[in-house]
Parts: sequence; C-alpha cells; structure tokens
Amino acid sequence: MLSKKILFPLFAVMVIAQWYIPGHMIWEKEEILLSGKAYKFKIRPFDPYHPLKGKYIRLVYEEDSFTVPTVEPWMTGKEIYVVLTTDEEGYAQIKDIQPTAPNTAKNNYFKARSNNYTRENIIQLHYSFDEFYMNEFKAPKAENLQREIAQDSTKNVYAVVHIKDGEVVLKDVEVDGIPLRELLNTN
Amino acid sequence: MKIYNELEELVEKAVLTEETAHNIKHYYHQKDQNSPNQLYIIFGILGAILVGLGIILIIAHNWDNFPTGLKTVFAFIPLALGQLLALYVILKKYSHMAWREGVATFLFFAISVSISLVSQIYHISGAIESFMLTWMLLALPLIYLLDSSVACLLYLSGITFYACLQGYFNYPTSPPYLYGLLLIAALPFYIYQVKKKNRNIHAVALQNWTIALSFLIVLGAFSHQHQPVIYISYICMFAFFLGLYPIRTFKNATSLQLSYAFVGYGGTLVILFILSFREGIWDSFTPELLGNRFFTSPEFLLSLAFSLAASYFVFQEYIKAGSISKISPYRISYLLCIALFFTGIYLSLGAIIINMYLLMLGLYTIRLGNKKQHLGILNFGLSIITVLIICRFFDTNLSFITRGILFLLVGAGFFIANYLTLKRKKQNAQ
Repeated sequence: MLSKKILFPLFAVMVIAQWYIPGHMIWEKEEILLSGKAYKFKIRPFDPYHPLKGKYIRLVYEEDSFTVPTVEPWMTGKEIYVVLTTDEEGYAQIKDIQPTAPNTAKNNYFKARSNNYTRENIIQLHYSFDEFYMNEFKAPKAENLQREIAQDSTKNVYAVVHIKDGEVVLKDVEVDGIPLRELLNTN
Repeated sequence: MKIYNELEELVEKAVLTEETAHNIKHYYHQKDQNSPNQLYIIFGILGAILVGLGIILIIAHNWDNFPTGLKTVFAFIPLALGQLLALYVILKKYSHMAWREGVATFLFFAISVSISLVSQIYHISGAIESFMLTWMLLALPLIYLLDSSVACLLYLSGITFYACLQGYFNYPTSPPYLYGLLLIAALPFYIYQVKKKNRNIHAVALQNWTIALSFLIVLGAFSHQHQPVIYISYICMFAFFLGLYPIRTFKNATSLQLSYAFVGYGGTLVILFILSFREGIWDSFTPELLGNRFFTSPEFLLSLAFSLAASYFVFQEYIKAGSISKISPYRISYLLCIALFFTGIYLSLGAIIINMYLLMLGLYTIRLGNKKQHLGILNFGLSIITVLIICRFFDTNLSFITRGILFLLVGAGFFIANYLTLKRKKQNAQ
C-alpha cells in the first residue's frame, strides 16, 4: 500500500514511540524512587483483580480524609495537592490540602483527587497509588495475612511511598519493616 | 476440486466441449495461485492472537522472584521481537498476507504487554481508559504500515471499549469526543479497503460489521445533558447507514451491504417502536430541552451531521429514481422523527403519528414482499404489524376479546399471505 521510501521512516517513528512510552514511564518512576522522599502510609488491603496487569491488592489508606474549617469549591471533585508531615511514630499524616502545588523543594506534597465531603466538613481523598501488584498466588494469601494482622494490634501494615515534585511511586508494602512479599515467602 | 470432477462428467455427457472444460480448469487453476490460502491466514492470525494473549497471562502471574531490572527487560522482549518480525515482513514478506496479518496481530498485543508490565512493576494504578488510549495510539500505525485488516479490527474494538469506559462506565461520564478522532484516523485505511479492486471480501465485511456495531454502541455515550435527543441522533444514524448501501431486496445483498442494512433497518424499527409508546420518551420532549445550549450539544450536532449525510443519499436516490414515491419509507423515517420532535415538544400527537407510520411501513413491506414474491420480506412486514399490536397491548385498555380477535386476524393474515405468495410462485414456475 505505502511505498518503501515512506514506509521505513514511518516504521522507525512507530518503533521509537512504542519504546518511548514504556521507557518514559520507567525513567519517571526510577527518578522518584532514587531521589524522592520516602513516607510510610498505614493501610488495610484486600484482593481485587486486573485482567491485563495481573492480581493486585487494593490499598485502603487510614489517612485518606482531611477536615477543613469550611468547604470551598476547589475542594470537591478536583485535582488537589496533599501536604504531608509525619507523626511521632513516623507515619505519614496530612498537614494541609491546597489547590495548587506548594512552592517548596521539600518533596512533602503529592497530587490526589478530592471526592465528596461529609457534614462535618471532612473531605474524602482518592490516591493514585492504591494498587499493589502481586504474584497471583500470593495476593489471596496477603489478604488472609492482613486479616490475621488486623486482630494483632501490635503489628503495623504500611505502604512505602516515594514522593518527588508532587509525583508518587508506591515502592512496597511492609509489615513492621519486613516486605509483604518476603513475609508471604516464609509463611 | 469438486468442479474438476463435474467437468469430466459434463464433457462425457456432451454438455461442454473439451476446449471449454480446459478453459474452465485453467481459470480456476490461475485463480487458486493468485488468491492466498485463506486457512493459512486464519491460522496465522489465530496463532498470533493466542500467543499474544498467552504472554499477557504469563506476565499477569507476576514473577515477583525476579529482580525489577530483569522484569523490565522482559517487558520489552515481545515488543522487540514483534518489531523485528515487522521489519522482516516489510523487507521480505510484504506481499504475503498471512505474514503481515500475523505479525501485526502479535505486535498489537506486544504493545499492551510492555505497558502492562511496566505498570505492574511500578504499581501504576492509572485508569484503564488512559491505558487503552495509549495502547490504541501506539498500535494505530500498524494498520497502515503492515496493511493489516486484523490490526484495524482490533483497533476499532479497542477504541469502542475506550469510548464505553469514557461515556458509560466511569463516573462522572463525559462524551467520548476523542473516539471521533481515533475513528477518523482509521477511516482512510477502511475506505481504501472498500474501494480497492482486489479487496478481500471477508476482511471488508468484518470491518463493516465492526464499524456499524461500534457506532451503534458508542453513539449513546454522547448522550449527556440532552438525553432524549439521542433517539433522534440514533434514527438519523440508521438513515445514514441505509443510505450507505441502498438495499432493495435482502436476496442479492452481499455481506458488504448486510451490516449497514441490518443495523439500519433493525435500528430504525426499534427507535420507531420506542417512540410509538405514548408515555415515556414523549414526556421528556419538553420546551426546556431547547434551552441549556441545545444547538451546541453533542446530541444535536450528531443528529445534524447524520441527517445531512442521510439527506444527501436520499437526494441522490431521488435523482436516480426520478420520483419521491420510489424512495423507501424506511430511509425517510428520520425526517418524520425530526419534525415530530420539534412539534412533539408542544403537541402530544407524536406517538399516534408514529403508530400510523409503523402500520404503513408494515403494509409497505408486505406489498413489497408480495410484488417481489419474496416470503422473507412478506413475513418481515407481517412481523412489524404483529409487534406493533403487541406493543399497543401494553399501553391501551383494550378488552381481552378485542386483543384476541386482533391476534387471530394477524395470524390468519400470516397464513393467507404466505399461502397466496407460494401459490403464485408455483404458478409462475410452471
């Protein structure tokens, strides 16, 4: 259909595009993992499924809402910035929410989506890092393990999240310092 | 080949001369050599689809014992393999359809494998529609570069799924405008396939069906703030389909014409039947609909575009036939619906007129079937009247006796009409 003179340059463009998109995704994420700041978010996982990417556990974060004095229009159904601090145990805590990126190099803020709000002015937040992909046989086990841990108040399950310039990478899920994957290998 | 055996018998019985038999044999021999082996192509494509899906599933297992670096390399192996094969096809096997289609199919899935695996490694939860959009945009060049009908079919299915996610499944929904652009990007290939001389009829037929069904599924996703108007958009689109390939009988229809005719006729009748109910949709045709940026809404603009295209086809038909009475009433039902929509906002006669129109369509189809002595068309017409009567039972207070008599009459009509047509056919055959 196309002559070979046009075919080759177009083919080259296609090949570059097909490498660039996944390559760029890797570059972006590695950059955040290498030079971003790590936070620990307390979680409660369970076990849904994605047909193309495999099994994952959906992470429900304990710190997923923020109380404001008055609800303003930019606070609902919009992309907002969550500013973080850490509590005395070292877990991430929401300090503030803002409509635009804070002008700071501290890497203590990230993009999120605000959902609805309650009568008590509590804004519900949705994070983009709520899927933790696991081996198909380990994902159901992780859910059982989580149930056991939930009854043992001395144990803590949390997600390790790296943050840089408002962007986020979910690195791992750990139980008291041990990665979930390793814990399931030993069980 | 079966025809070779038949030829010998025909020559023996002196129906054909030796020379003609030889010519026929020669013709089929040449034809066999020119046309690609269909089975080889089908198995090539099926193989590529299965291998592609197999790799996706194996990757979905999530081999978490491998280090991230190695998994990242795995993400690119199918992609690199597919691209190398594509390069080989372009250089050496471009005239082999089985190679082109098979490699295009494999590479189509390999793109998804690489994005999926990277998303899995870095736990990227991104919405599935942005994943579909990236996949389809990266796969689009395959259609043109490898001249691949299967890549086109997969692409059309993919963008349909994307539009559904955008317009139906996600909350809050929004009209999938991007679907229009994605579709336009594949149209030159489709038009070329339809128009080229030595086209593959099966491939074109499949593309016809996919496009017709894709439109059918996606149009509703554009319904947003003026939802009732989408019925008008639909009937205009069906009229456009009927105009694409004018069909007078179902008998001579090739698979090429069938998809648009099937969706066009079926869709027109379904919309008319929905509009034939007095309550429901007519209640929502209120003056408020015309406010709220009605004339810039996607529902209105789509209705306008489809109705203009349909009118162009109707006008062409009118010039060809030379008389309005020769134009099929199916093809102009959209004009009635548009007129009734605007008057229906203020008057409540719409449903009654639609009922009369459906009755007229039923009688027209019966007459057409009778004239052509085609039992299929005749029974189709009778079915329209039967469905119309069944529909009216839901919103009228007719007594059981009246309903019973009506059914008896239509049932008897079926018997008599079929009997008379068959009798006439037999007489003509004698």
